[in-house]
Amino acid sequence: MKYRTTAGFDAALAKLPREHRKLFTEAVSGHLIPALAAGAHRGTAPWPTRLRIHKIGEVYSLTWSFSGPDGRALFTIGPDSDGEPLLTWLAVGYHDIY
Amino acid sequence: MRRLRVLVVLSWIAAGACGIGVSGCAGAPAISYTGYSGTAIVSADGRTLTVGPYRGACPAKVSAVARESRSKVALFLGTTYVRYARYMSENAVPLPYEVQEMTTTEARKHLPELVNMAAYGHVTTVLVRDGRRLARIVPEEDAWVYSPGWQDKLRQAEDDLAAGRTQTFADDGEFLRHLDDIDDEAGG
Repeated sequence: MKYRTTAGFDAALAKLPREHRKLFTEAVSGHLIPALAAGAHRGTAPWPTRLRIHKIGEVYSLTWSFSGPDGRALFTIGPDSDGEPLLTWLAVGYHDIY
Repeated sequence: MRRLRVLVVLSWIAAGACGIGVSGCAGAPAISYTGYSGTAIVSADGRTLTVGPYRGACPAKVSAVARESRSKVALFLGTTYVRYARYMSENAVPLPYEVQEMTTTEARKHLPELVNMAAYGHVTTVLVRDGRRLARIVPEEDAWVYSPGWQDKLRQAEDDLAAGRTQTFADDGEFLRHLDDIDDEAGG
């Protein structure tokens, strides 16, 4: 799997407190990447329940923290110019309560 | 009552409601449920129906989950929603997690179903009048995405992608190192 980050995503991630960046990284390395390796994006394996990954319109939502402020991230998966799957991180932050 | 409910679902599937399809199998084309024939297993509580395999094209079993009535039946493929199995007027109901458009006049007639689709199927309905999108019915669970802050983030992402302000990583390791770099630069 190839990955891509936008400048806005990188900046938003850098602004998170250290412990929240760690939670995000743990969610990615410990749960998302193994699920992608198993083919979750192709429908051959389930997404990890704890990440609550689901589509909202054209993007995927991922929950990386339930405690404190709910941590969410948005990404897309699509083919790159070579036709290989490319996961693009669009945004990261907190679930806004309103 | 339970028996009746299951019977309704079974009869409905056996009847092969036109156009009901299953997608989501890797590399497998959409499978029509028309003329379905196969086994069906009813769960102990009578609310879950497992059907299939269907034509051997899909390795996973397909489940139909009945919620109270035929109008609220949703099909699952493994843990993935694949199709809301119901018709509304002449149009097939969209896949869960899809976005559909509907006129305000039509939506007025079907508001309870639209609310159920949003709540149980994560379907977003955009209400249209005179060709203009006016409002939308969204699942409460997903409402945060439409908040101004997250919409700003998505707009910025679009701008970044259009302007090429992106970094690409060839594999998991490269991406994880990038996350470490961000952490280091941010004072991690």
